Amino acid sequence: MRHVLRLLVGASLLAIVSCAPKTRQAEVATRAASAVEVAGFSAEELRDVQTLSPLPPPPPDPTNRFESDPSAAHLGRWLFFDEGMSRSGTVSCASCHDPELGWGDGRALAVGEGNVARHAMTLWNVAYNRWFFWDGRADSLWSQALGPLEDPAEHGFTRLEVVHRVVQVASLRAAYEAVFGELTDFGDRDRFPVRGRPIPQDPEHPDALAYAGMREEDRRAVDRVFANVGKALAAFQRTIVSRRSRFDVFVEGIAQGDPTKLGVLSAKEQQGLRLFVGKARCVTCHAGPTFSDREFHDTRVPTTKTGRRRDPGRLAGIDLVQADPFNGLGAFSDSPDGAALDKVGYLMKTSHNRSEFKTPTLRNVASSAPYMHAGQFSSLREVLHFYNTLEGAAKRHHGAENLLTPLGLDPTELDALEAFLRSLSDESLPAAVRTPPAEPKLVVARRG
Amino acid sequence: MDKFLARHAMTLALFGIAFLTACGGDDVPTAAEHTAVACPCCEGHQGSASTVPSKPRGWTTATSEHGRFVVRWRSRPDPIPVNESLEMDVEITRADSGGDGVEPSSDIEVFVHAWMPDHRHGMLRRPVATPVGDGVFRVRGTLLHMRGFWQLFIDVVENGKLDRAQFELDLP
Repeated sequence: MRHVLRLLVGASLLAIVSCAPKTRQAEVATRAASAVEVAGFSAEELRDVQTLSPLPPPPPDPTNRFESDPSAAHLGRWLFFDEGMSRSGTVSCASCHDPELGWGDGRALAVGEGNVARHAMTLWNVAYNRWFFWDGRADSLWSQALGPLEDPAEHGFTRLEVVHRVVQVASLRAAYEAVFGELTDFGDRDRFPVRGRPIPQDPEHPDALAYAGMREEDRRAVDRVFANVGKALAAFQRTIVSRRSRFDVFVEGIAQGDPTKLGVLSAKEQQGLRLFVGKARCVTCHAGPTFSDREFHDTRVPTTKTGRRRDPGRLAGIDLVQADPFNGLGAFSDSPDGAALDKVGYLMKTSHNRSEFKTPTLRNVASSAPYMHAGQFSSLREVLHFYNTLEGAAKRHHGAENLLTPLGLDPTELDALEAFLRSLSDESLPAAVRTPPAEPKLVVARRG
Repeated sequence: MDKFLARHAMTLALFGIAFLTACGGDDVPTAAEHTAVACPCCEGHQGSASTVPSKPRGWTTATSEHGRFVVRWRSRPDPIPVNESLEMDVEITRADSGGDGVEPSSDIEVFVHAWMPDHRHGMLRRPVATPVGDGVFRVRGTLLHMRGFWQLFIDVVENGKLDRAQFELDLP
């Protein structure tokens, strides 16, 4: 029977050659052969591989009209590295998202002003996400950026402190006003206390009382500046993009029939790629050019030994994103009736959302250890071992989805799969993105 | 033999597509063909599809389980994009109208659900159906976030009674 298939394949290739314009026949034959035979992939595997690359530019976020503004991105870059935006003056975004540590922190659980309950996600390609945080409790990159600033365990700041810092640091104020327009007067401490933020779960907290005691229009003015800080941070984080790994070159080779490009992946890496789209079915969730379906699953990774109840994950995240005043439907969104409605407006909580976490990207995965929402695994090999055996897997919740079965890969196959994952690395970011600018305001040199 | 043919049906089909495409002379292949097989035809084509496009389905029709309604729907866009929002047009007519397409009463409600039985999960959104008259509903909020086999349910509720039409989708 296999001979019959080979004959059919051969006949099809022959047909391609014979029907193509004569001037291109030899070229076409070479490419067809290289695409099917040199790489050793089936047509179905090739089809699936080509869904994973190329990665287009980051999708637009209409809720942030400053996302492509270079001055906003420059300001955001300065803010990203600004340790002054924290209670102790020692914590910046870069503390947990260190560009030299794969835009993570290398820890299982993040540490800011206190101990954080989850692992710091890499920021590589963060702008491609549909949801933000492990539980998706933010629906935009800019609204995500606001959460850590006010989290007592992260920056430990409050939005009033953020506003006062923007106003009081002259260079920061100038950069802010160049992007977002003139700041109003926040100098009256009776109207604008030193600290203050809403804390729905603890309304008697002094910070909550301070914020609640403000006039509504004053709260709105503070929230506006706070949201704009998030939009500047998002404009910067959109530039943290990785799009041209060796794998991407390999896929170009498939499309172009270019043997040089096809040769950038070793035989072992190609075997791993076939496993990724085939036997191991990683592509079921790590789908598309972001290597993520951008949604949530319960992968049953072992619970952490902190004595805490199992993290509710997406189940709580849905409530939080729908209640977030900074979500895409809110007063600070630049497009409250557009795509945000499709996301947040129709969002539904179901029984299987419990303990679901966002599918992370796999681009640059080799440099973002440890892995999983609580850093349960310290190496890629540990991750693969878990999915291969499901040893130590948490119990399935009632009503949970059923995606996982032990893969049963042999050691050679695990080696190949790991080798392929390591081929997804491209950390060729401009050096300037990895460091803070000297000043928060972008200065454009005049010609002549 | 049958098993073998079944296993390799996709391969044979794809090469069949390649055969037909190649015989189109200098015609530019469609996007679907580009992503279905490695494209030897145009150097530099890189494509950007994240999923393999399926074929357009057009209108799909079924009778509800209790036989009260004929339900037909189509996706916009068509074919259905995997993991992207889509809108649906849904038309409801009474099954006992003798083919006259008599629309139901105006207080009818329509609900759309979807389920992946192999994965044991459903959609992550709750679509909303808005009546636009004559038994026609516009449905927003549908998003089928994974490739694979889906069951699509269109529930028709009239006077507190539910009748369900079921459809099957295989998203490649």
